[in-house]
Amino acid sequence: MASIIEMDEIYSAPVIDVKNLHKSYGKNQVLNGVSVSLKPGQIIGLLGPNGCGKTSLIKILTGLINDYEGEVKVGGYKPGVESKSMVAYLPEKTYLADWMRPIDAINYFDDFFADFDKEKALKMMKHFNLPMKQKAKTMSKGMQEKLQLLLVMSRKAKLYILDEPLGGVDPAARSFILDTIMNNYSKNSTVLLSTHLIHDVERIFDHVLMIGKGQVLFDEDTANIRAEGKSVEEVFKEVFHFAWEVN
Amino acid sequence: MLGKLIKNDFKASAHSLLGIYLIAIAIGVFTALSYAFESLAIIQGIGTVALLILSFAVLIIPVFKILTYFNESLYSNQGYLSYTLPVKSRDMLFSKAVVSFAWITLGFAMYIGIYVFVIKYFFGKMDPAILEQLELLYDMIDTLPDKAVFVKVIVVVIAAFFFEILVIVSQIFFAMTLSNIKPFNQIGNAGGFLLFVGIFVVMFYIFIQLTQYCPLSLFISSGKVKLVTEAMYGTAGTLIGLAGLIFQFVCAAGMFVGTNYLMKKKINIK
Repeated sequence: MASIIEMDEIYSAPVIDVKNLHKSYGKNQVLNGVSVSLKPGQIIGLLGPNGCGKTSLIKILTGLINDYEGEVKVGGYKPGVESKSMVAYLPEKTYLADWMRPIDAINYFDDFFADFDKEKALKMMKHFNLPMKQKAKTMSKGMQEKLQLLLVMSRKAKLYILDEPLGGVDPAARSFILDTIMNNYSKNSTVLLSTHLIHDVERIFDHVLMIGKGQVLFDEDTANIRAEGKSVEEVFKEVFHFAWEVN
Repeated sequence: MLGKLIKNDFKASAHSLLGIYLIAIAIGVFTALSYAFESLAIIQGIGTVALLILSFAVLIIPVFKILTYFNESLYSNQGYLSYTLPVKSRDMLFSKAVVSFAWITLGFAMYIGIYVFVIKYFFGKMDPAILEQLELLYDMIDTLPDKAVFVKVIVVVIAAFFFEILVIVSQIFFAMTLSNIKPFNQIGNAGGFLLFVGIFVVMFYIFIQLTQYCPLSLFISSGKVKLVTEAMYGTAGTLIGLAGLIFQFVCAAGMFVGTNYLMKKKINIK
């Protein structure tokens, strides 16, 4: 019996646990006492206007920013080797070297991530119509983004962190990206998806976290929002009307 | 993971570095073949001049390419991938140091190879007496009464030479990393290069001063190699100044540790 309780605690332990997080760039405070605890097995929307601190929070969670104050744990670990091995991260930027071809990128991920499924990546590459041997520098931005998306979604990660995957693309591409995420993420994992395009994605969220002025302004399960007869977009407008005033 | 890092660092850096070595090898082979034909004197001349120019290129270009590669792979958009790999920053640093060391060493080896080639083929053809004099020199070394001293000195010089390459690598890494941290990141794209030149010049000046004026040396004689802290004038053997090397060792170790610390604690990938 005790072991069942222990197992239950392990599975319900927060996948992201942040306490009193502060981050500033010079005099510009971008995160100001953020505390949040996110349960595993959910699709979480990280919402907020541009410059509200979403990307800074994500960079801290993924280990790209290390000079912060506060306590941060991802999968029970401080951002580091252990947490990075369980996080599949899709940044806003294209990060592949110019010389890399899709097959090189796939081999690279296969080398470093134990949870990477090479077969799946190769299948997705064909499905996405990406030429196996075309160098990244000769690819369009859209092709590079597709390649990065397939690399990330070919991992059986505990936590997927997707930073504005829908930003700057047309509605058809948006739908394609969303379908790819929904069809390929591991069902027991957690997805943290940052966006400001709420209308297109609110149906997939189990939980939303709204950040403004470097603080958590709203943190709620979408089931509770819907129970009140509201949509996430409506709540967003309510919250960020306030946020814009204070920003 | 370290092996995979080294493999991928070699692969990535080869895309920008391999070309210069392949060009040098191709021109070397082409020129060597041309020496087989008396009628191809113009090609021999052009090939030899090209090799002499390349001899500087294989020394200088790898340093610049490594500077750029280190910066791009860690502090440009590629940093979003490098810094999210499940590897320790010290392993990333070690891997890049091994790869950089190998490329720069290869550059030096090619530099020496080009001059051996030019002396053998070009100068040897112009004046065969040069080759005879070289052979006389080899024989002279072979019959030196203190040949053991000579061999020991050569070993120490080669070790010091490899060590100098590591010092340069540590300077590159530290300068490029520092240039991505406030206030140095406000200098702009040339910041890393300027910091590297600054660190190189200051360290070189101190190295020369310490080597000349600090009486701490390695005394190599036929019987033994020993540490001395006083002048050994009039004694059969060779003195190699150590104070400068020790200074460089401390600085290089400090720069590697410092770079690792900055990567772990201070770098913000933009």
